[in-house]
Amino acid sequence: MADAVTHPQARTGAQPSFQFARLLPGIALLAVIGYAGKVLEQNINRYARTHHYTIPNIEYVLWAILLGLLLSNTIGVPQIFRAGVATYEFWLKVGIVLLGSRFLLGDIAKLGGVSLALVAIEITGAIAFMTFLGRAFKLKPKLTSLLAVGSAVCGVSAIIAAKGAIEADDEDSSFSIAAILALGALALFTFPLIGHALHLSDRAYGLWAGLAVDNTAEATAAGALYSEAAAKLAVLVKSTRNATIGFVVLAYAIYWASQGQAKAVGNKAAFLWQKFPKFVLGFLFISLVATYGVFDKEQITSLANLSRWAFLLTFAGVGLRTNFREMRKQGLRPFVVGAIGEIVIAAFTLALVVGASKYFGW
Amino acid sequence: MSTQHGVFGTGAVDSSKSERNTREPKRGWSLSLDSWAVLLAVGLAILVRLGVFKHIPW
Repeated sequence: MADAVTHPQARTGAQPSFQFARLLPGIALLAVIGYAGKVLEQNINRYARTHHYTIPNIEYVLWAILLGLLLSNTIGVPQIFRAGVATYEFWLKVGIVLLGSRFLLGDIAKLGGVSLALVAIEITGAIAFMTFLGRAFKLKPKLTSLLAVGSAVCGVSAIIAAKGAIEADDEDSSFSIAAILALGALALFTFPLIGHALHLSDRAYGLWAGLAVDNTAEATAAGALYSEAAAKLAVLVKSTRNATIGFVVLAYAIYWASQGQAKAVGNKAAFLWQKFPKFVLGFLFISLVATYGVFDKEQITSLANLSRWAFLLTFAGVGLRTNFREMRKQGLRPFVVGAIGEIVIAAFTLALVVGASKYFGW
Repeated sequence: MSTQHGVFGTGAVDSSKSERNTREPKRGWSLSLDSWAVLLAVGLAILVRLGVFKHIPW
């Protein structure tokens, strides 16, 4: 969220307040920037068609992110907008739940087997490699844990969940969040280029983005920058990773409690439920309802469009909350560790996906 | 020196820091951000199903 970068300590509050009036200016800003991105895409395409120019289609996703980045890194986001801008993750989750209407449960189950196996490999490999890297660079052990959780599972949400569970310092979580967000921003621009250069199919690219990009908003945006089909798959795979958050954080909490440096976990089932991302259940519920034919074709189109409007707010928020100056202040070493780790994880998951796509003939 | 562990701290911390860190705001029953998102999305889906929103353009 915006405050994660500009005011890292504000992340500890975790949830934006639902005092609606306070949120309105920021939500309006998200809508204006997102809609401006959509208008820019349409107008540039219309202009190119009218004048018979051949130019690459730049999607509204990229325009919204770029406009947000421009505002955030020039005049900054005024205080009055910050609470509302921080709701971008809320809109992301609304969008993901609504996107469930486009998935039939059979498709999820079919894809689930492959993606589940790849997710398990990615999580294990990422945790092992980030732990090795943290030790090699002599980072503080809890900072290493946070970076490992963030890069293996679910970016910012996982870091926030793990921070409380393993009793890490505010400073460590700020470092980890800044590193994950900065690298997520880089992934937005590099992943589509690499995907096109390697001629990855929508399916292979979506899988890769869902596996390798850490924050859900960036994974969705990286997918949408490639194609709508890739975005759908990236969301599905990323949601699978998100679903493991409770288990990974629980394992870390038990480890640090055994070291005498965190509180012991009492009720493990309650802990897992508390950490489980509920929007994954919402996504499956809407998908179940759609599978049983509750919605007709027109209604499914309407729900998919609602999902795109929600994502439009999210993409504007991704740009608005990214402030490179604030990220630089967080220090270089965790960023270097994060960068090396992310590059290796991205290469590793790319190899996995290319191998799987060859094997399954995607 | 106190060796309590704060919510955000590690290892031994002084008592004033520990007190500050272990004090959590009292909350009443409330839904998580995720749950609100699910409720809003399901509510919108119901409205679309009931025909309140006949066509959402893009």
